[in-house]
Amino acid sequence: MSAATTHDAHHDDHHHHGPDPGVLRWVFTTNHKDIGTLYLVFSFLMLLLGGVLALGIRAELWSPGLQFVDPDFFNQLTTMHALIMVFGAIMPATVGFANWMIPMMIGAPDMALPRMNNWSFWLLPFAFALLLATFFMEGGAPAAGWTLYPPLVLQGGANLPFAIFAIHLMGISSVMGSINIIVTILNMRAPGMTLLKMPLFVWTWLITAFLLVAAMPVFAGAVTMLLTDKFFGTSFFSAAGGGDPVLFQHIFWFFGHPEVYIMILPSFGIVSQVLPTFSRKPLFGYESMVYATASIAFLSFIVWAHHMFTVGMPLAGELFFMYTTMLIAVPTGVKVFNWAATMWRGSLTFETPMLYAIAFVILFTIGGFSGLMLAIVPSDFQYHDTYFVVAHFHYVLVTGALFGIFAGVFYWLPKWTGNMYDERLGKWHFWLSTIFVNILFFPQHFLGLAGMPRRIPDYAVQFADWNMVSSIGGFGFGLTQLLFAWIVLKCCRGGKQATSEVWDGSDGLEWTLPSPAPYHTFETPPAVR
Amino acid sequence: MALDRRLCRGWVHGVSRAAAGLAALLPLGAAHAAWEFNMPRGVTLISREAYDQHMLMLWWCVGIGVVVFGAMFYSMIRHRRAAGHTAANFHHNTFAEIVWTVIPVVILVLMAIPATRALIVMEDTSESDMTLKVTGHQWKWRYEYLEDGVDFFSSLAPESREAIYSDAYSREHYLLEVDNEVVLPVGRKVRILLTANDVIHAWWVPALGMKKDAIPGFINELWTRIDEPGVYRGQCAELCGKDHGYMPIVVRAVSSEEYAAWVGEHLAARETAAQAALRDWSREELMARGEEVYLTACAACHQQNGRGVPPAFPAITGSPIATGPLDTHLDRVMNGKPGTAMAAFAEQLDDSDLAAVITFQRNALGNAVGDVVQPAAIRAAR
Amino acid sequence: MVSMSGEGPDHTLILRPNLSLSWRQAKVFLVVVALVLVSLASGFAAAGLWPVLPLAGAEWLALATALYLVQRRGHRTEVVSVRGGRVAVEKGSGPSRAARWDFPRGWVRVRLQRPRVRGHPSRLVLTMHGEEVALGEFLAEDERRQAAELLRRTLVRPSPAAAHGP
Repeated sequence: MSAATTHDAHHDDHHHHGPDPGVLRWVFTTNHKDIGTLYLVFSFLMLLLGGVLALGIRAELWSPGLQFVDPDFFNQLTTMHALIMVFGAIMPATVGFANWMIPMMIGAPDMALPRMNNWSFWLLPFAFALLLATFFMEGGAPAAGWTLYPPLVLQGGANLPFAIFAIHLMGISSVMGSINIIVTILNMRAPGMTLLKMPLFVWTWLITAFLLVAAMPVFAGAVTMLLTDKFFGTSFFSAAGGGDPVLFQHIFWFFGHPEVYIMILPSFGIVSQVLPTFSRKPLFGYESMVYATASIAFLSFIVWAHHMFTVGMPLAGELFFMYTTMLIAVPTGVKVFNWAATMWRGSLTFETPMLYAIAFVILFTIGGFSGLMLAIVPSDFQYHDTYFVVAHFHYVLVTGALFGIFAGVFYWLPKWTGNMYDERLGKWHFWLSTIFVNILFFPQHFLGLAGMPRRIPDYAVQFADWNMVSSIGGFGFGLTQLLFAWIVLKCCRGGKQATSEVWDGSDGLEWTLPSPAPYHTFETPPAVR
Repeated sequence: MALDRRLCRGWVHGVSRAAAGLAALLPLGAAHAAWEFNMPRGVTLISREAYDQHMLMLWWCVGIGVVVFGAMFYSMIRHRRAAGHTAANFHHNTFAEIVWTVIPVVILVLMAIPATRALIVMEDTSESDMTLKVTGHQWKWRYEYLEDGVDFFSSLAPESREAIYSDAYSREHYLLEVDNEVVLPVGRKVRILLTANDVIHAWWVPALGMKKDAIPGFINELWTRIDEPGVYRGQCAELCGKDHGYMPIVVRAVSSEEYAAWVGEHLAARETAAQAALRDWSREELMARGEEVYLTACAACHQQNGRGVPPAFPAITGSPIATGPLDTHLDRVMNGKPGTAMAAFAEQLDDSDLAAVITFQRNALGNAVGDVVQPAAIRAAR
Repeated sequence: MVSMSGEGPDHTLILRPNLSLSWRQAKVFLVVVALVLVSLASGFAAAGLWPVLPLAGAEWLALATALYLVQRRGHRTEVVSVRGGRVAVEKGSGPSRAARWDFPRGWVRVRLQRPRVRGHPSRLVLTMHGEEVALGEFLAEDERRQAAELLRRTLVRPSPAAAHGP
């Protein structure tokens, strides 16, 4: 198999400079740049789709009473919004970056297993077609929340097996993707590129891939057991049959907490590339960044039960998970301090990627603060399952993971397309996004503290005002993303020619390549000094 | 269509509220009652512990934020290239890195000590004066006073349910009012046992300071001692299906004397109801009572008009069960349908209410079977 | 990686692709991953959730297979041995997959072909009467140039004073 692959690649080299023309190029491509593009385009489409569902939620929550949807459909909206955003938007976007950048950053010609790479992408459209098809089934889409807690999820109608099969496909796709990334990073680094010389983005993805490998079988097992509980008479999670519904929460969050870091670590990596470039100063504390990332990954496996402090754990359990959770603040703090120290006494300029990276550090840290507050069990009993939690994880995932992705897109877009994007529009996108996202999510802290539970379609009138503010922010943030699509399209079609270095403070192998990066790069490994 | 009207009303109301809200923000200090920012301090030891921990953490975070963000903004202003700053070239400093690892550890220890102390207090359910068992049902709560023998279900008040599609602002406590309130005496330590009948729920009254999951097949404990008389409202906090947003909790805290009186009234009312179940009811009585029961017990799923929301919540109008043999109908209402949201109402309703609601379902909502079910038939079927 | 050894007129040139992980390190990595997966999956199995175990096993097998394939590809070796009047070329990543060519030394030519497309790799071939053997397709550009130079020195100018390595 491997011999055939290299032979084909060799064969192509002598006839084409670029890719095959036509649509089939995208279907059969094994080129890491093509597959990276596919992932990124797919994830943007999913971002828009998940965003539309979110706007459905925000429209219904504009004012108390039911105006647009019935409560059951509202639950379908929240469930599908989360599943699509987590598995369809954020994760594939970061895999897209990995595909594009990791081979270029470590000096490899392509991913180690290009044909498996093709397969891991092309599973995704089918998985999501299956998941979205449940909207049109009798009983509608899954409505038990993305956390799929039994017994509620088992009350679902025809959608359950389809949703679970879709989740299995997504899981297989991301496991194959991470195996490919691990194998690529370990085997295909250019001579001289030792592990501790790798760019931090490569490091964060290596650790992310390892988290995926460790967490995915657990999740796959959990949803499989839901399926057998529903259709094959087992009772893993049914108290009536001797099982335990809380056990599902344990196994789900054993996967779910590493999943949080699977979504955020690649953005940590992107920001760690962007900040030094625009500070014109090397990354502060490279090695401690690597160790901090590794410790965050390790800790992510022993904190899972902080998602479920209210299930009635013994006191000792609550204390253990409180302490370990608080401990995560230490390596996370190290990262934030290192980023701040990278900027310190630099020579800062504020192009769009830098603006996004700075906003990432500040707003992600705010999400980290609310995370620290949530770790304190006595007050978590009040915060749990309220909009305070919703605000917390949206600060971490939207102004964290998604802003990191935006920073990365604007940072590397000139390298991908060979053209500079429109800086003026980029700044507009940044300011509109940042202002609206705070109008959207900051008031949700207040709502949660004032006592509004999450996942409700309708609320008491004292929550009306902040909900409306939040909805205004939601529509503003949603519409702003159309501007993003326009900026990227405009950049693909033309613009000021980009140089190889693109940014005057750029450093790393990818900037030694011409812009746009040639279809085949580093057919032979470059030397790293 | 009805939707248009609802839409208009909701949005117009919303916009006018927004205008009012903005106006209220302008004169500083004239805070609108609804623009709430913070956690309530509550009326129990537990809620005050939660509040104190919350405020302590908040100020820690504000302090750290000021330092870190302050350094970043200083850098952004002073170390701009536009301001002529050239880049230094340092890339690590072992001393600084040790400092900003050790200081957070110290701060975390300072945070953890009071939190641990508070948690130990909150989880101590020993030496309680009375026990309240709370069972979550889709979508209502059952309250059993283990010592006093009081036992009832509590659902969303019908007035609130009617306001969902008309005007939420017409109810002061929209969605936070119930048909039967939980009454608790002030100053007594109440141990609350939580469980559920179908799916996981969570019982939460913010002013009492704690929430815990109600899990089928398991029993969780929490406790409360309410200091001040008053009415405290909360709602289910764990997604439990369609009407998760519509299962409120209302706790009325009263003096011990008022509590004793309430228990007496409650038991007397139950005795009256038990007597009523022994006689034969007229068709009119059954239909009138049946309509009331239908609105509180059935309408959430099967809708007021009986058309349901198929397929999850089938129609009663013209259904083979409600228009078929009586035995099947009795069985479905009394024993429910496992694996769906259809609960077993035998334990939720007494004989008269069951007889009335079944009679109502067979002879109203577009059905006209013509038979009448007496409480005695229910008693026989139990 | 290009390495040359030999004394006098006899020389051996060994070409290997870039591979940043040794097989030993690969095995250590696989064992570590296996330990992690086994410990957490058996934890769940002990709690009654055994379906995690086979899934973790299947995933480890997929990882091990991927690593093995890439390692095998990375262990391709090409050996050019010059002994007396003969030049032998051996290619393979293991004894069973070896391919072998044998030429009389005087007739072999070394050619380094420039790429047809700029930025693409050059091609190093040994030719004799129209028969071609490509060498070092997996090498870096400067390594291939170095290999070509070493081969030329030993073959085209059969001097006993041929250089030892770069």
